[in-house]
Amino acid sequence: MNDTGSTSNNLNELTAKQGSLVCVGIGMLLGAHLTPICKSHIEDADVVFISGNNAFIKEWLSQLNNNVVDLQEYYQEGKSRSLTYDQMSEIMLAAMREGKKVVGAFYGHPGVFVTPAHKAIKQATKEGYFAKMEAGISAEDCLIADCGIDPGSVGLASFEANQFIRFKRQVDNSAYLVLWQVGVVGDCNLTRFSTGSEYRAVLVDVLLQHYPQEHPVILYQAATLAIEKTIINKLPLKDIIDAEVNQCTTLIIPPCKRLVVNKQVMEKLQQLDKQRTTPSLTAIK
Amino acid sequence: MSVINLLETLAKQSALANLSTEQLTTLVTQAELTAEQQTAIINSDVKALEQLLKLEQIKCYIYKKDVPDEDDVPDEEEAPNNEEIKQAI
Repeated sequence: MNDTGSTSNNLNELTAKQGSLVCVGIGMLLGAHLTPICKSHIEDADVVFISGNNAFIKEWLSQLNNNVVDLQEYYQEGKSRSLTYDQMSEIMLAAMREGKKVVGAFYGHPGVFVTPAHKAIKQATKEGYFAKMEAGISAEDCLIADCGIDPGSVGLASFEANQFIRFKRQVDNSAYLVLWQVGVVGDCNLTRFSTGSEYRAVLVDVLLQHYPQEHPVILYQAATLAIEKTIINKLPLKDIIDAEVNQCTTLIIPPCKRLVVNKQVMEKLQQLDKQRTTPSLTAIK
Repeated sequence: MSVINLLETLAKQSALANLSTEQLTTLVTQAELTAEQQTAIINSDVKALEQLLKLEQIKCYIYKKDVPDEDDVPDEEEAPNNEEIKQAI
């Protein structure tokens, strides 16, 4: 097991190959969410490839490392994001293969809704390089804090919005449902940076199979700067069609049904409890 | 203190959470910012601040495909062949 507290020099001693890849999360709120280990990796890297959630991130991280490369240049509306993600992954791997200590610094958590980070780490590991991921504070973590939701109370299921409507998913409407990337719901070619109300209408149609149209939902967006306000917009489900939605908007659907007891399972559990409390005959001498 | 350092400081110090406009104004005027930068911060005008610092806009915030990778999908078991069942019996 690798010691996550190792200095960057020790990373290369642990494998035969020069070059390494660590994907870190910088959190959601600039300045507040960067963990000590992620900061250390950024400072020690030969090159830091970044993906930020606001225009200030590059300037900020450039204070920690003077070789910061923004992955934004690979995006283009009309170009498949699948190709973009492959390019992002490959640029990090190429630097690693040159023997560099590479860090991919992604906003939020680098493993939550980040295809290039997972792809690059898998490939780097396959090629025999040291590669790992360091956790970060994700948008879901902020959603839980900002909206006062406890996933442990009635459960929480989380899906990418377009995957939710393209595939048949089972919905438990006695738990929270969180749908990510609602701003591009319906974009099956991965070429658009936004889709419109007509695509959100398709999402609402799917949701109406499980929830009433007046069911209160939340359109949420985490603050990324200290001077920004968190957006928590409460509205009826049907009204999300024409609501203001962008790439960073997340849809939260609270439960509309109470939990239903599983009587068969409860009977089994009660039987087990009885066996535990009934004294065994062998114990009586 | 630069704009970036001020934003970082405002985010990570508990004593600076939930400042009133007057308190924020006092803090901002103590930093080495231009009058326009100070106004943008006090008014929470992120767009104006980006333009003043000539920062490049974020084009896309989305890093996830909607279709899972093959590695993430379990193999589905094939339905047994009728001939195989007959032979087994």
